[in-house]
Amino acid sequence: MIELTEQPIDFNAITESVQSNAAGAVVLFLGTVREFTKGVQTDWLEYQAYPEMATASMSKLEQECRDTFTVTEIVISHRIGALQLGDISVAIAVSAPHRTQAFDAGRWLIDTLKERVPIWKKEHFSDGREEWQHPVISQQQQQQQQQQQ
Amino acid sequence: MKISVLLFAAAREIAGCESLAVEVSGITTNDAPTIGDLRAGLLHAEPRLAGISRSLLWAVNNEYANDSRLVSESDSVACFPPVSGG
Repeated sequence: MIELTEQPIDFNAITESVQSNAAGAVVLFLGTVREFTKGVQTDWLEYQAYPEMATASMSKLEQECRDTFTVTEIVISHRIGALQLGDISVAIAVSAPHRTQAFDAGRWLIDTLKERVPIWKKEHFSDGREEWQHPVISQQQQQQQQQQQ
Repeated sequence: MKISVLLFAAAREIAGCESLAVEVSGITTNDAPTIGDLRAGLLHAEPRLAGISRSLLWAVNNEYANDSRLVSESDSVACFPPVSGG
């Protein structure tokens, strides 16, 4: 099950929804809003998605995961909009007959989601600065900064 | 030919709008334009995107697309920086 939502993520309901008599293990991953990143204080985060492609992309993740791992049920839920410190931005729940497959599938799902699914976060720092987070641009900026030094 | 390009995140913020109608020029009537043509057309339509243009990713009909992908007016085209969800 795939979900893109502006509402708080109910991880208890998500966890229960993947439970099954066919499963011997349930793994739940939650991504949460962190206060400090490399010493800089975050006030709140804004998440924006390309909804049609994000939903299609998460559905493909679910299918690829089923093709690769032996899993029973999968739920991927990502929140968009304004999130405060401690809020859950993403929840991934996987059930599987055995724990190794549940852990491996959960790890693969969050890692691949972060690489592929068209969702972006904007940091609103405590000092008033705002910055879209774009991994590649950040690396380029770091290289430029290193070259200038 | 004009193709509407959806923008997201920093690209949307820099352009100041959610989509841009991009004129694709320099092609013969028989050739469909490519994402590469659109990339050039987008910078012409919004020069302020030049600073991030090399890192911009493209999607056609909800799939990532490279510069050689052909596009038509009926396609849903989007352009955005590397993703940072999770």
